[in-house]
Amino acid sequence: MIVYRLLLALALPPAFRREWGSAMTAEARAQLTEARGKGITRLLLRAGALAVDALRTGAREWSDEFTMTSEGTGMRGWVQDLKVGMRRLARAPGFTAVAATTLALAIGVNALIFALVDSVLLRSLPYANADRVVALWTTENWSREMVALAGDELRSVESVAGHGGANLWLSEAGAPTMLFVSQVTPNLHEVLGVRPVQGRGFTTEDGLPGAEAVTLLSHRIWTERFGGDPEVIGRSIALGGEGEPRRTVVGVMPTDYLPLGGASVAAWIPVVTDPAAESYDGSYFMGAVGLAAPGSDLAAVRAEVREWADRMQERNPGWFDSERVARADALMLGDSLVADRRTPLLIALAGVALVLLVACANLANLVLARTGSRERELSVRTALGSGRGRTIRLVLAENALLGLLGGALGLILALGLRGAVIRWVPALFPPEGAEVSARVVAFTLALSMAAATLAALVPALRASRGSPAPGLSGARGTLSDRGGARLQGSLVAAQLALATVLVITAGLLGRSLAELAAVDPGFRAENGLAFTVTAPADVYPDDESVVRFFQEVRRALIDVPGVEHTGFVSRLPMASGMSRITAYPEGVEIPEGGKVPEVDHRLVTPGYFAAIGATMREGRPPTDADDIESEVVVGVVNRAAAERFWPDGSAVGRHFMGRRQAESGSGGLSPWLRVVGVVEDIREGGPDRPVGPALYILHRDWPWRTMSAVIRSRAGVDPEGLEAAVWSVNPAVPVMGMRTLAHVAAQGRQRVRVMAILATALGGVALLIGSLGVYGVVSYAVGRRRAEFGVRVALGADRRTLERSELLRAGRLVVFGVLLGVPGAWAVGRGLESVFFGVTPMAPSVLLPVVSALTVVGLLAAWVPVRRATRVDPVEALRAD
Amino acid sequence: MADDVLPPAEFRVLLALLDGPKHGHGIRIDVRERTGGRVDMGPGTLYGAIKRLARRGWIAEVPAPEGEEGDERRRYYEMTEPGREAAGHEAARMDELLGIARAKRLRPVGGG
Repeated sequence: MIVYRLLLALALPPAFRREWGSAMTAEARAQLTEARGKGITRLLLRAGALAVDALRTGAREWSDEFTMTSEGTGMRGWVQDLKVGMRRLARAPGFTAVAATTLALAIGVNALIFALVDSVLLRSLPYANADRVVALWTTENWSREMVALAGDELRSVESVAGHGGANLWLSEAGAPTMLFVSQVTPNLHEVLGVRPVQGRGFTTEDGLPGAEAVTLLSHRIWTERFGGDPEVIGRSIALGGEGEPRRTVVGVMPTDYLPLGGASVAAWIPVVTDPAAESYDGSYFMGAVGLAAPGSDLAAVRAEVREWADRMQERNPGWFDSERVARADALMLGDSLVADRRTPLLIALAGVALVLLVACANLANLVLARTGSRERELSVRTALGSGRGRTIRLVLAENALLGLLGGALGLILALGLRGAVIRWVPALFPPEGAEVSARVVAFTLALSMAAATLAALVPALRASRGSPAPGLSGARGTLSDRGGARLQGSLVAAQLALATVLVITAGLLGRSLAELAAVDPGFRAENGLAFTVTAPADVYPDDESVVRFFQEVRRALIDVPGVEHTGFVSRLPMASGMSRITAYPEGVEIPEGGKVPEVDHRLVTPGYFAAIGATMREGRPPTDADDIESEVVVGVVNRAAAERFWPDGSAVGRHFMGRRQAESGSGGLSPWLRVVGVVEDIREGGPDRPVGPALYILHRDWPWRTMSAVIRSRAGVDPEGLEAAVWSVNPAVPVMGMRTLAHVAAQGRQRVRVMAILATALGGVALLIGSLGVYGVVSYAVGRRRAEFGVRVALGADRRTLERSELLRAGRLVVFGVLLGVPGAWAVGRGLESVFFGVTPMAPSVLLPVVSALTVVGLLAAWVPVRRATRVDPVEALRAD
Repeated sequence: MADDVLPPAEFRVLLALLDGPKHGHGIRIDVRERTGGRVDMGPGTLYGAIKRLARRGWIAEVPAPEGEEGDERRRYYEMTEPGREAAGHEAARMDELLGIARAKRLRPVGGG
């Protein structure tokens, strides 16, 4: 018999067992007694039959619980539940509003991040060959010749194409505009598998010396500048580049084609490669992509690229050093395009997931409170045979609707936020913006409904338990047991913990930002402007003309009123990316097979150091008067270089040796450059990068076409005046990127800034939702006890003492929740350690203020309802029950 | 009314109650005797059927009839009007089926 009872306990749903269990046991006992009288075989058979009967009944009753019994079956039942749910939500506007708002806030930020993730990470590349295109040696700047060589020599790729960018003037069909043009090897579009919608693509002939200058237009520029005119094919337009003032349009690219180089690419021109040339001077900074040959996979391509890089080093040891070769790699094109955006987005995704959890906890609490107050109604329903499953379904349906509502509101919020975010934190967005596509909408709504339903699951299960007697007799609006109150408390503590994690992370990021800003950049960032100028190749075809051009522009700039100092530099400080050359310092032994020292190099014109506000430690900056006749050029090193190469004695007067001489190993090393000054370290990389040795060479001796002007003024200067000065030398010269030096100095902080903003925003939202949660739960808890307060006050208790003791109770919960979040914040901090700067994950200077602030906020949220409840008029409170 | 089937166990319980209220055990005995021992409902089947019939309102719990109050634990059930009607419908449905079978000369197999 005990066995039978055990079986019943295991097999039957509790409700059924409570109701019928004893009758069944009695019946079973009777049957067994009967069978025993007929012999042992009958007894065993009967026992077996009883066991089977118990199990079958169990199965049947369980399935009954969760399907429809009395009011409608299957689909019809669901629809009815939804209708009932909608009516109920409408009748409780307070609950619906708070719940929907909480959900909307969390879903809003989630939707925004989904849109980003969708646009950046999930969108498949719109190229026919997308799954076969590999980005090759992405850390290298490829020259035309390298591309050609790779195309010939690599077996695992069918063809290799190069792409780069430049800004060219379009002076046609409207006012002269600067266009961003992609300079590509003629086979690029073949490699990608994209075909023009009008005209033709580039052919190999277009890339040969002496070919007619041609161009492909993007769809956007075709519609915007040329009115979508099909007659544009074959037209010659004034678009510069590579010494060609005019080009013939041969085709238009499709409208959904996303160019390598970004959506702002307006046109393509073919790069002319002389098959006979052999230079590797990287004068054509390009990236290279290859089309994997049939049967080759990424691993094969990667292995071959690495091997090829080694071969290139053997052929050209002066140009390819071991460190560069070590970075040779191959990536799928899709991965290479999103590589540096993936991590921040994934971190953002984690952040919004936390916020959603906080909102779910809130929702669960709200549902608990609501079903708690409906427990009577639900118990009656269960007693009338509604069935547990039905009750659960009702609550779930209601909350699914709530999820739908919250999700829709959240999407609207996200759309609104998107505009604001694009303006304030553009770095996080791809050039195309974050599109809220159908996929994002569907996913968001599904997530919202799932979250709401899940949040309501536990409360629903509890509410449908149906012990009718307690529910029917209890006071209105109570959760009939301690377990409910404990659950609410745990949820609130969890919310606070999550919010704490986010806020602490935000604090740490904010601190990092402050520390980064405090780093001395090595130049003076106030009262300065910078912009970039390119000497067009068609007007200034050779080195001499380029030098003269910049000298003339500099003279024109000096004449602009307000300009105190001005000079040019090849790359502004605090920039990402390096310009490195190998250097052979005089007197420094390079061991056999050892690494040749590398230095950061910059080209400068006279006036640069004064303009940027750098400090000379020794010697002087170079001038145009220096050694015009001599073969040896002049230059300036920074302190790091001086200390590294010539630690004892001054660096001034020392030399760097020429490459060629050093290679040939001939005894006589002939000097290439003489150091005339040592400058205090300027942060050429970001503020968190260590300063390495740097060499500043006169522009005259190494004339680059694109230089950045730095202007220092005492009292401010009009940027238009500066532009006019440049155009007075040549009106067709593009002037780009006009910004203040303060902006330049801030550049290194971009990434941290973005993350700090994100963390702060999310932390704020989480804290808001969490505070609402505290408020709601405390409000509910003290609301239940209004009668008790009323009695106590009537019996002479002091209101203030009451208030204080209640606040202490709530306070314990708040403190517990916040402290619970600290280890979580530590874990997150460890993960983000590479982003932090100048601060450790558990820095007390951040931790203490944040924890205190959060506790205060939580206590405030609890204090409001406590105060209201203890102000209760005893008569009112007693009567309300 | 649609061709809804009344589960056999429930129908048997209804039939058992046709001649007066009974408790669970009594229902089982009645069913067993009337089928010559062939159908012997297990407790789960029995009370599951009773539960469902009660929920549909086709049987109702009643106090023990006179002369049997001694057995307090036992719950007595009687058939309600709707229950009687439902039983009648089921019988008619079976009758119709049986008529078709006979018309097509199907001979019943096994015990009656």
